[in-house]
Amino acid sequence: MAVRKQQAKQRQLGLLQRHQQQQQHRKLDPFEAVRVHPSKTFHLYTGSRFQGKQRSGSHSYDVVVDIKHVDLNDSFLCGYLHIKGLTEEYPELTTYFEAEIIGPKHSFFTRKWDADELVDEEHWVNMAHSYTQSQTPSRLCSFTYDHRSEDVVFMRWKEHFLVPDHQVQGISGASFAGFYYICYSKATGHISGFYYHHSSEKFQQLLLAPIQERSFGSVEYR
Amino acid sequence: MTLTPHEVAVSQLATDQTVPLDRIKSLRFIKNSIIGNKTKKDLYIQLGIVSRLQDIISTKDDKDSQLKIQAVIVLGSFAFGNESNILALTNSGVVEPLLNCLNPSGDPKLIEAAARTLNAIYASPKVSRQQLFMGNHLHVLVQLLDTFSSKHRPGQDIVQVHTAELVASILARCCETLEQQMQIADSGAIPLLMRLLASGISKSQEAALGALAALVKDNPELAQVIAQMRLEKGERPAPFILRLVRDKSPTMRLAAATCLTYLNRAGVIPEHNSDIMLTVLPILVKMLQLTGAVQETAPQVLAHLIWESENMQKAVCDMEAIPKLASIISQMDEEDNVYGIVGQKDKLKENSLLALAAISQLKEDCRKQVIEAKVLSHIVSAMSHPSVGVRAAACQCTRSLSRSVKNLRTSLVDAGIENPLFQLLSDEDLGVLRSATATLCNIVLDVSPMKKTIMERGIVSKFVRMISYGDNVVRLNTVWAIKNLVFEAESEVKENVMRQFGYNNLVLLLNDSEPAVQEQALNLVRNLAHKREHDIEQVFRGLGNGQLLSIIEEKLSWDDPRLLEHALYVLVNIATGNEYHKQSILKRQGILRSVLRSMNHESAAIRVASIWVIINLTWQDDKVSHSVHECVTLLRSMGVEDRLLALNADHDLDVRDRVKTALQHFLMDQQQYGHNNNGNGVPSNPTGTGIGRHGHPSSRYHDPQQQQQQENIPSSSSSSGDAFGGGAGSAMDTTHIVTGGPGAGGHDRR
Repeated sequence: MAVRKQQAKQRQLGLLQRHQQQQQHRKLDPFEAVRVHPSKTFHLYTGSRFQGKQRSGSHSYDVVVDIKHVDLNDSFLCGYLHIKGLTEEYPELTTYFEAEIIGPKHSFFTRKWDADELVDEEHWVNMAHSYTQSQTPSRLCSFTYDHRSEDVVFMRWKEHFLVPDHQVQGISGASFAGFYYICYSKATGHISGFYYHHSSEKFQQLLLAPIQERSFGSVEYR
Repeated sequence: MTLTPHEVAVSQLATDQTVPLDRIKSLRFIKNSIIGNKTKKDLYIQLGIVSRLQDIISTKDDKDSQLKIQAVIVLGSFAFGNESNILALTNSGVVEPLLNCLNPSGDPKLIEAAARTLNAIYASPKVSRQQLFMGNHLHVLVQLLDTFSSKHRPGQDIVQVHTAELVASILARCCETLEQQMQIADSGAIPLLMRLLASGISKSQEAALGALAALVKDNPELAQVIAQMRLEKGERPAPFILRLVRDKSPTMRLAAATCLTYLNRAGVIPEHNSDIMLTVLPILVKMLQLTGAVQETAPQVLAHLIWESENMQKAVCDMEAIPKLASIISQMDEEDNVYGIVGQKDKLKENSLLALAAISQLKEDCRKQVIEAKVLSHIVSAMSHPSVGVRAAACQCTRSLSRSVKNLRTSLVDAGIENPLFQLLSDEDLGVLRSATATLCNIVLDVSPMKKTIMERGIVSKFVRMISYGDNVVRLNTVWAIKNLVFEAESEVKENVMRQFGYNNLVLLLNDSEPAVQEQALNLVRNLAHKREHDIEQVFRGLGNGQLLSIIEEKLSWDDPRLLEHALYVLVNIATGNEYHKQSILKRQGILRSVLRSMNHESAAIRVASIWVIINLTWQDDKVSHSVHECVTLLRSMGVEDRLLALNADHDLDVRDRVKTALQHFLMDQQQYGHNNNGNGVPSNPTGTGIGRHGHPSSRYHDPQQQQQQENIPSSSSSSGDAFGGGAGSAMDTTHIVTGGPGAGGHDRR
């Protein structure tokens, strides 16, 4: 920091002359788009995919998840969830979902979507026992969880609308009124979760593994 | 034939025989008839009054200043509030004689009148500022800021103060370009403006704030100079101006907030960040509910202030600024054409749209609020507004809102932004074209349903014209749009785009004068060569094998992190191709050396990218083929394995994870082909190449600590046992076995 201040002073002194020398008469554009560098952490990046199953009782459905945008700064990611064979009418259903990443912005307590603290507790604890031996339940309920320095990223995934037609309201035999408690392990890349809706079967399990890519494109909003 | 009194009055101005007193009488008569009367003003201009007045103010005779003063006042009356009259005045050349009237030895009342008239003339942005900066004029003008100058005449103080205020206002209006800012600064205006700022006279302070704001606007260097100055009592300007933000006069509050906004954006008053957040932001938001000039300007200043700051955007969101702006915009649409005053209202709309664009630029929550405020349909119709400023600002809004998968899939499609946007891509105004091409970048993303339809309308054929438009921003946006469009696209789409766009144009962009354009062009190559061997082959053919790799080699040597990461990923992607593709990388010593060097880069993302190059180059399926063995041998001889072993202790988990995968490839090779030459299990680095672990002179590269290296070089036998689970045998399938995190052991990645 000290070095910088000194530089600023020097800049100030030689400023007028230097400007005349440079003749580089360009002012800053105050309304130039501020860049949003897409986040990439392990398997969570724009374009990454996961596949696996969702288990409901004795049934099991193939699931593929496409991650479409990740903004760790904003504790946000979103993507598509494709599920096969849920209803006869639609052999494959795709929904758009958004994730609340547990951390500085979102706590473990959901406080909406019909989930009270008891519901939160039993889902997080259940998940912690099954997949993250290192996490203890008391730790899960603290508000200061920071996914950046931990091996496990906890999230809530909420589906919002159908893809491709977002105006389709309701599908007979299927619903996305609930949400998922999600746990992603940086080390293994595996995602596990539970679907929760107050009137649905409890602890429907989602188990996904990353589809390993060796080739990487890149996009960025403008 | 009889003459009207107006014709008589004009004719009397011309006659040299007319007694000066009669001419003054005529001028007074004219002055009184035209005040607030547009028809009379037009009539007199038609009667040719302007050149008569110009003659009067151009005479060298200084004996009777009354005549000149009256003539100057009448000119000012013509100029006031009417742009076409202003242009009538300037076209007949009144600016130069008016500037000459500022001569400090002249009558102070004449000087004041001339300053007032010039100020009215410079209210029009269409008037050239050139004359002011010629000859001695600027110097003379700036001296008039000095209200404490020696020549004190009784009763003239107030005139001097008024003159200084007018001069400050003129300077504020003639301070648009960087050259103008620097010339005004060079003329010594800043200390005098500081004195005016501290004068305690409200109007003077406001005028000084206006001029200072114009000087520091988008000019970090002048901002730094001004922020570091001291007022008479030793105080810095920023805290002083912060007090003026709380003034009772709305215009003073706005002037002070504007000045602080520009200083803040220039980053020269970081110590006042919280003051700005807690004081300036709420005051600006409250101004949205005022009327007139303050309400009109406030959203523009607000947009300027919060543009880059996520925290401020959120704060403004919490202050309910979005519904306020939305209601300004939607009310205006309802009142449209009722008042018919075009200019004024347009500016308010433009500025309000710009503020919405600023608020929704970075946070999804804020975008959501804009959508919920039901203002989107107004934004979309503003994209076809007759005012270029409104069109550009509306487009900025859609650009911000389209930074969201959700909006792209829902509200933006529903609101029908595609049609107006497509129209704006042919707009004649540069500002509109810039914001339209920026929005386009988001509209062609794979998540956007509009991608397909806008391609069917022939967007690709427009790209070539857009890059040859001759504007850096439009060119940058265009290449950005293309790279977004080909991301994850089918081979057919990629080929179609490149057939129309042309690889020759891609080469031009890769060597563009703007590094930002090069960065996007490299990203485009990366996306083109992504995923399929066929796609890689197309890029090889399009650019030519030699040229492609020479370009990458050159970009790697630039050591610009933005270029470096994309260049590395181009290699990562090419290395997933066939034997020929891999060999063309391996043949380039320069490239391999740059990859090795990048493994020690300060940025973890770049270290990861460079290790991916190694992983893909040494990728093996069932067993290590001879060519992979040769590749491993080559890389080992260059010290790659050593470097990887050193990175086992990297603080970044992602880096360590990649390193394990890469090292596994070296190990598998070793298990199949036996030890290489040194035979002691510890790979050596033939440092003769000079690119060993001693790193790079640049500070971006860190040398891994020697000690850590020692600790982390395992013997080959232990690494085969611990790190790779069942050893080579279990790895011999298509799965990509890597070691996991703590306690995870080996994990099957597929």
